[in-house]
Amino acid sequence: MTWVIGGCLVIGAFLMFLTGLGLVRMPDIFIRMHAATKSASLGVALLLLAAALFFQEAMVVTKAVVTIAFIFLTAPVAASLLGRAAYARRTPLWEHSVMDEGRDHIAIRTEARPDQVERTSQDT
Amino acid sequence: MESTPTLITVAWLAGAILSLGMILTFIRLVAGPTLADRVVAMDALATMVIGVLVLTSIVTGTALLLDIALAIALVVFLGTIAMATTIERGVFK
Repeated sequence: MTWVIGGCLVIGAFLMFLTGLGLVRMPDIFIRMHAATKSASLGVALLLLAAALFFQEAMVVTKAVVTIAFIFLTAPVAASLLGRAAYARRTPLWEHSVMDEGRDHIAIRTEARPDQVERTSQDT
Repeated sequence: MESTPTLITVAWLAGAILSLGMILTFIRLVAGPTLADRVVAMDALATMVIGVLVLTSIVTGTALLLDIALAIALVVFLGTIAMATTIERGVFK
């Protein structure tokens, strides 16, 4: 059992290290969000699973499961809203991007920022 | 289950790997060109803080720290939503 818990701890920590690596190395914010959200969720889920296996009490297992469920429910919602906001504010895509699916679905908002209009004409 | 010396060593190793990830995330938090980059880095950093709390609870045998982990998860979600709304309204760059 010690090795199962230790394996969960090391793999979870390594996934979080991959989160940091992806945040530093990835080229634009949308790809960075892809790295940050998924691997961080899975990493913290593995760490909480290790805690649940370690303590083996009803309260701890319940808390760990509730935290895992909450993170898995809220991390995609937060990333979706943030990516939508960044796209609506015309954050530039990576120059090698081959697809821009938000073009037909997300309205570009420039009204509250007069200096943002110039950036829009430069980006497109 | 009692925390054996082997498990404590493995937990410290995991903590070292996690610290490297936190350092890299902090680089993005400082250097991020837009505000949205910083919010993403802050979100990831808070998730890593939850991981540090779980590791500490295993090393010291304190199950109470998992309550704090749940509270941090709740608060950070609200903060990210608020920052997304702020970015979309264009208050900050």
